[in-house]
Amino acid sequence: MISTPAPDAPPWLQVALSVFGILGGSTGLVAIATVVVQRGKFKADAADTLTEAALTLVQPLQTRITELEEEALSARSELGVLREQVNQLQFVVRVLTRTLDRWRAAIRSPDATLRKVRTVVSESERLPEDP
Amino acid sequence: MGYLRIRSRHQPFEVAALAMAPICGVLLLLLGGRPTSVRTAMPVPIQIGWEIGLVLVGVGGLLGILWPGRLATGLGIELASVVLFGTISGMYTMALVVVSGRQAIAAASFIAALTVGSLWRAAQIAIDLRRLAQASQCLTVETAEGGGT
Repeated sequence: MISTPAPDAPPWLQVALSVFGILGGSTGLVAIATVVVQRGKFKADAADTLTEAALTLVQPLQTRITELEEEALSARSELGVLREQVNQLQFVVRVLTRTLDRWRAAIRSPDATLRKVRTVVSESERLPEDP
Repeated sequence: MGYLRIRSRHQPFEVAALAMAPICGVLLLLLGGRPTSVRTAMPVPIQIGWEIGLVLVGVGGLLGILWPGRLATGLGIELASVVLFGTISGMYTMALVVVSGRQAIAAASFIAALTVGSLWRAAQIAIDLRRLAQASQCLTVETAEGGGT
Protein backbone atom coordinates (compact mmCIF):
# COMPACT_ATOMS: atom_id res chain seq x y z
CA MET A 1 0.00 0.00 0.00
CA ILE A 2 1.10 3.49 -0.68
CA SER A 3 2.14 5.29 2.43
CA THR A 4 -0.49 7.80 3.27
CA PRO A 5 -0.17 11.36 4.06
CA ALA A 6 -3.21 12.47 6.01
CA PRO A 7 -6.38 12.58 3.96
CA ASP A 8 -5.80 16.13 2.95
CA ALA A 9 -6.55 15.75 -0.72
CA PRO A 10 -7.39 19.16 -2.04
CA PRO A 11 -11.09 19.62 -2.61
CA TRP A 12 -10.59 20.55 -6.24
CA LEU A 13 -9.29 17.04 -6.79
CA GLN A 14 -12.56 15.49 -5.72
CA VAL A 15 -14.46 17.81 -8.02
CA ALA A 16 -12.04 17.25 -10.87
CA LEU A 17 -12.14 13.48 -10.53
CA SER A 18 -15.91 13.49 -10.29
CA VAL A 19 -16.23 15.57 -13.40
CA PHE A 20 -13.62 13.46 -15.17
CA GLY A 21 -15.33 10.24 -14.21
CA ILE A 22 -18.77 11.41 -15.20
CA LEU A 23 -17.45 12.78 -18.49
CA GLY A 24 -15.58 9.58 -19.31
CA GLY A 25 -18.49 7.40 -18.31
CA SER A 26 -20.94 9.33 -20.42
CA THR A 27 -18.51 9.32 -23.35
CA GLY A 28 -18.33 5.56 -23.17
CA LEU A 29 -22.09 5.26 -22.97
CA VAL A 30 -22.51 7.65 -25.89
CA ALA A 31 -20.00 5.64 -27.90
CA ILE A 32 -21.77 2.36 -27.41
CA ALA A 33 -25.17 3.98 -27.92
CA THR A 34 -23.98 5.51 -31.18
CA VAL A 35 -22.71 2.21 -32.47
CA VAL A 36 -25.85 0.38 -31.43
CA VAL A 37 -28.12 3.01 -32.95
CA GLN A 38 -26.14 3.23 -36.18
CA ARG A 39 -25.89 -0.50 -36.55
CA GLY A 40 -27.63 -0.22 -39.89
CA LYS A 41 -24.72 1.76 -41.22
CA PHE A 42 -22.39 -1.14 -40.63
CA LYS A 43 -23.96 -3.66 -42.90
CA ALA A 44 -20.68 -5.38 -43.37
CA ASP A 45 -20.00 -8.09 -40.85
CA ALA A 46 -16.66 -9.82 -40.72
CA ALA A 47 -17.31 -11.89 -43.82
CA ASP A 48 -18.40 -8.88 -45.84
CA THR A 49 -15.32 -7.06 -44.72
CA LEU A 50 -13.21 -9.85 -46.09
CA THR A 51 -15.12 -9.81 -49.33
CA GLU A 52 -14.70 -6.08 -49.57
CA ALA A 53 -10.99 -6.38 -48.90
CA ALA A 54 -10.75 -9.07 -51.53
CA LEU A 55 -12.64 -6.84 -53.96
CA THR A 56 -10.24 -3.99 -53.42
CA LEU A 57 -7.40 -6.39 -54.05
CA VAL A 58 -8.91 -7.97 -57.12
CA GLN A 59 -10.16 -4.84 -58.81
CA PRO A 60 -6.81 -3.45 -59.99
CA LEU A 61 -5.95 -6.89 -61.27
CA GLN A 62 -9.19 -7.02 -63.18
CA THR A 63 -8.61 -3.68 -64.87
CA ARG A 64 -5.09 -4.79 -65.71
CA ILE A 65 -6.43 -7.98 -67.25
CA THR A 66 -8.89 -6.04 -69.38
CA GLU A 67 -6.10 -3.76 -70.57
CA LEU A 68 -3.91 -6.71 -71.42
CA GLU A 69 -6.72 -8.45 -73.24
CA GLU A 70 -7.31 -5.37 -75.36
CA GLU A 71 -3.63 -5.14 -76.09
CA ALA A 72 -3.49 -8.80 -77.05
CA LEU A 73 -6.45 -8.35 -79.36
CA SER A 74 -4.91 -5.38 -81.17
CA ALA A 75 -1.57 -7.18 -81.40
CA ARG A 76 -3.29 -10.19 -82.90
CA SER A 77 -5.09 -8.13 -85.56
CA GLU A 78 -1.87 -6.32 -86.38
CA LEU A 79 -0.19 -9.69 -86.73
CA GLY A 80 -2.89 -10.75 -89.19
CA VAL A 81 -2.34 -7.64 -91.30
CA LEU A 82 1.40 -8.15 -91.29
CA ARG A 83 1.07 -11.80 -92.23
CA GLU A 84 -1.09 -10.86 -95.18
CA GLN A 85 1.45 -8.32 -96.32
CA VAL A 86 4.17 -10.93 -96.03
CA ASN A 87 2.10 -13.30 -98.15
CA GLN A 88 1.65 -10.70 -100.81
CA LEU A 89 5.32 -9.88 -100.81
CA GLN A 90 6.18 -13.56 -101.12
CA PHE A 91 3.84 -13.78 -104.06
CA VAL A 92 5.48 -10.78 -105.72
CA VAL A 93 8.92 -12.25 -105.12
CA ARG A 94 7.86 -15.52 -106.68
CA VAL A 95 6.47 -13.75 -109.74
CA LEU A 96 9.57 -11.65 -110.09
CA THR A 97 11.83 -14.68 -109.77
CA ARG A 98 9.86 -16.47 -112.42
CA THR A 99 10.10 -13.45 -114.72
CA LEU A 100 13.80 -13.19 -114.12
CA ASP A 101 14.22 -16.89 -114.88
CA ARG A 102 12.30 -16.53 -118.08
CA TRP A 103 14.37 -13.56 -119.18
CA ARG A 104 17.58 -15.30 -118.33
CA ALA A 105 16.48 -18.34 -120.26
CA ALA A 106 15.56 -16.14 -123.20
CA ILE A 107 18.92 -14.40 -123.10
CA ARG A 108 20.91 -17.56 -122.68
CA SER A 109 19.13 -19.65 -125.27
CA PRO A 110 21.56 -20.48 -128.09
CA ASP A 111 19.31 -18.97 -130.73
CA ALA A 112 18.76 -15.75 -128.78
CA THR A 113 18.28 -12.64 -130.80
CA LEU A 114 17.60 -9.15 -129.65
CA ARG A 115 14.12 -9.29 -131.04
CA LYS A 116 13.23 -12.52 -129.28
CA VAL A 117 14.51 -11.15 -126.01
CA ARG A 118 12.51 -7.99 -126.52
CA THR A 119 9.37 -9.98 -127.17
CA VAL A 120 9.86 -12.00 -124.01
CA VAL A 121 10.46 -8.85 -121.99
CA SER A 122 7.48 -7.04 -123.41
CA GLU A 123 5.28 -10.10 -122.78
CA SER A 124 6.21 -10.27 -119.16
CA GLU A 125 5.75 -6.60 -118.57
CA ARG A 126 2.30 -7.22 -117.24
CA LEU A 127 3.60 -7.49 -113.74
CA PRO A 128 0.99 -7.53 -111.05
CA GLU A 129 2.01 -4.25 -109.55
CA ASP A 130 -1.03 -3.63 -107.51
CA PRO A 131 -0.50 -5.97 -104.61
CA MET B 1 -10.71 3.25 -52.71
CA GLY B 2 -8.12 2.36 -50.10
CA TYR B 3 -7.41 -0.95 -48.56
CA LEU B 4 -9.68 -1.92 -45.75
CA ARG B 5 -7.77 -3.25 -42.83
CA ILE B 6 -9.29 -3.73 -39.42
CA ARG B 7 -6.70 -4.10 -36.74
CA SER B 8 -6.57 -7.32 -34.82
CA ARG B 9 -8.52 -7.23 -31.61
CA HIS B 10 -6.41 -9.73 -29.78
CA GLN B 11 -3.75 -7.49 -28.37
CA PRO B 12 -1.98 -9.03 -25.40
CA PHE B 13 -1.54 -5.90 -23.35
CA GLU B 14 -5.11 -4.82 -23.81
CA VAL B 15 -6.54 -8.25 -23.12
CA ALA B 16 -4.38 -8.73 -20.04
CA ALA B 17 -5.31 -5.35 -18.62
CA LEU B 18 -8.99 -5.85 -19.34
CA ALA B 19 -8.89 -9.31 -17.78
CA MET B 20 -7.23 -8.00 -14.68
CA ALA B 21 -9.64 -5.10 -14.22
CA PRO B 22 -12.70 -7.07 -13.07
CA ILE B 23 -10.60 -9.22 -10.76
CA CYS B 24 -9.27 -6.08 -9.17
CA GLY B 25 -12.74 -4.55 -9.01
CA VAL B 26 -14.35 -7.62 -7.44
CA LEU B 27 -11.58 -7.95 -4.90
CA LEU B 28 -11.91 -4.28 -4.00
CA LEU B 29 -15.67 -4.59 -3.69
CA LEU B 30 -15.55 -7.81 -1.66
CA LEU B 31 -12.62 -7.05 0.58
CA GLY B 32 -13.26 -3.36 0.87
CA GLY B 33 -9.64 -2.35 0.75
CA ARG B 34 -9.86 0.79 -1.23
CA PRO B 35 -6.57 2.52 -1.92
CA THR B 36 -6.07 5.55 0.26
CA SER B 37 -5.58 7.78 -2.74
CA VAL B 38 -8.94 6.76 -4.13
CA ARG B 39 -10.59 7.12 -0.73
CA THR B 40 -9.29 10.60 -0.22
CA ALA B 41 -9.52 11.89 -3.74
CA MET B 42 -13.03 10.86 -4.71
CA PRO B 43 -16.42 11.32 -3.16
CA VAL B 44 -17.95 8.05 -1.99
CA PRO B 45 -20.43 7.57 -4.87
CA ILE B 46 -17.65 8.12 -7.34
CA GLN B 47 -15.52 5.60 -5.45
CA ILE B 48 -18.25 2.99 -5.75
CA GLY B 49 -18.77 3.89 -9.37
CA TRP B 50 -15.05 3.59 -9.91
CA GLU B 51 -14.99 0.05 -8.50
CA ILE B 52 -18.08 -1.10 -10.35
CA GLY B 53 -16.61 0.55 -13.43
CA LEU B 54 -13.53 -1.62 -13.15
CA VAL B 55 -15.68 -4.74 -13.21
CA LEU B 56 -17.92 -3.51 -16.01
CA VAL B 57 -15.00 -2.35 -18.12
CA GLY B 58 -13.18 -5.64 -17.87
CA VAL B 59 -16.21 -7.78 -18.56
CA GLY B 60 -17.46 -5.49 -21.30
CA GLY B 61 -14.09 -5.19 -22.95
CA LEU B 62 -13.53 -8.93 -23.08
CA LEU B 63 -17.09 -9.40 -24.28
CA GLY B 64 -16.49 -6.89 -27.05
CA ILE B 65 -13.25 -8.54 -28.07
CA LEU B 66 -14.84 -11.98 -28.16
CA TRP B 67 -18.15 -10.74 -29.61
CA PRO B 68 -19.39 -13.46 -31.97
CA GLY B 69 -21.88 -11.31 -33.86
CA ARG B 70 -21.35 -8.27 -35.98
CA LEU B 71 -17.86 -6.89 -36.05
CA ALA B 72 -19.13 -3.34 -35.63
CA THR B 73 -21.09 -4.17 -32.50
CA GLY B 74 -18.11 -5.89 -30.92
CA LEU B 75 -15.91 -2.93 -31.79
CA GLY B 76 -18.46 -0.55 -30.30
CA ILE B 77 -18.60 -2.44 -27.02
CA GLU B 78 -14.84 -2.55 -26.94
CA LEU B 79 -14.67 1.15 -27.71
CA ALA B 80 -16.95 2.01 -24.81
CA SER B 81 -15.01 -0.24 -22.46
CA VAL B 82 -11.69 1.16 -23.53
CA VAL B 83 -12.85 4.74 -23.12
CA LEU B 84 -14.16 3.92 -19.66
CA PHE B 85 -10.96 2.10 -18.83
CA GLY B 86 -8.97 5.12 -19.86
CA THR B 87 -11.16 7.27 -17.66
CA ILE B 88 -10.88 4.96 -14.68
CA SER B 89 -7.15 4.57 -14.91
CA GLY B 90 -6.76 8.28 -15.55
CA MET B 91 -8.77 9.06 -12.42
CA TYR B 92 -6.60 6.69 -10.42
CA THR B 93 -3.46 8.26 -11.85
CA MET B 94 -4.58 11.73 -10.91
CA ALA B 95 -5.55 10.60 -7.45
CA LEU B 96 -2.25 8.83 -6.94
CA VAL B 97 -0.15 11.70 -8.20
CA VAL B 98 -1.95 14.35 -6.18
CA VAL B 99 -2.29 12.36 -2.99
CA SER B 100 0.98 10.47 -2.86
CA GLY B 101 3.17 12.72 -4.91
CA ARG B 102 6.68 11.56 -5.42
CA GLN B 103 6.12 8.19 -3.77
CA ALA B 104 3.69 7.24 -6.49
CA ILE B 105 6.02 7.72 -9.45
CA ALA B 106 6.31 4.03 -10.35
CA ALA B 107 2.66 3.14 -9.89
CA ALA B 108 1.41 6.32 -11.47
CA SER B 109 3.56 5.98 -14.56
CA PHE B 110 2.34 2.48 -15.29
CA ILE B 111 -1.25 3.43 -14.71
CA ALA B 112 -0.77 6.49 -16.86
CA ALA B 113 0.53 4.16 -19.56
CA LEU B 114 -2.71 2.21 -19.22
CA THR B 115 -4.65 5.43 -19.70
CA VAL B 116 -2.69 6.43 -22.77
CA GLY B 117 -2.93 2.94 -24.23
CA SER B 118 -6.66 2.80 -23.65
CA LEU B 119 -7.30 6.13 -25.31
CA TRP B 120 -4.97 5.18 -28.15
CA ARG B 121 -6.90 1.99 -28.69
CA ALA B 122 -10.13 3.97 -28.54
CA ALA B 123 -8.90 6.22 -31.33
CA GLN B 124 -7.90 3.15 -33.37
CA ILE B 125 -11.33 1.62 -32.93
CA ALA B 126 -12.99 4.88 -33.90
CA ILE B 127 -10.93 4.98 -37.11
CA ASP B 128 -11.69 1.34 -37.82
CA LEU B 129 -15.38 1.91 -37.30
CA ARG B 130 -15.35 4.81 -39.71
CA ARG B 131 -13.54 2.71 -42.28
CA LEU B 132 -16.02 -0.06 -41.75
CA ALA B 133 -18.90 2.32 -42.33
CA GLN B 134 -17.27 3.61 -45.51
CA ALA B 135 -16.61 0.09 -46.70
CA SER B 136 -20.18 -1.00 -46.20
CA GLN B 137 -21.28 2.12 -48.04
CA CYS B 138 -18.95 1.24 -50.92
CA LEU B 139 -20.27 -2.27 -50.85
CA THR B 140 -23.91 -1.22 -51.12
CA VAL B 141 -23.11 1.25 -53.88
CA GLU B 142 -21.14 -1.39 -55.74
CA THR B 143 -23.84 -4.00 -55.52
CA ALA B 144 -26.38 -1.45 -56.66
CA GLU B 145 -24.22 -0.59 -59.67
CA GLY B 146 -23.61 -4.26 -60.34
CA GLY B 147 -27.35 -4.90 -60.34
CA GLY B 148 -27.85 -1.99 -62.75
CA THR B 149 -25.43 -3.16 -65.41
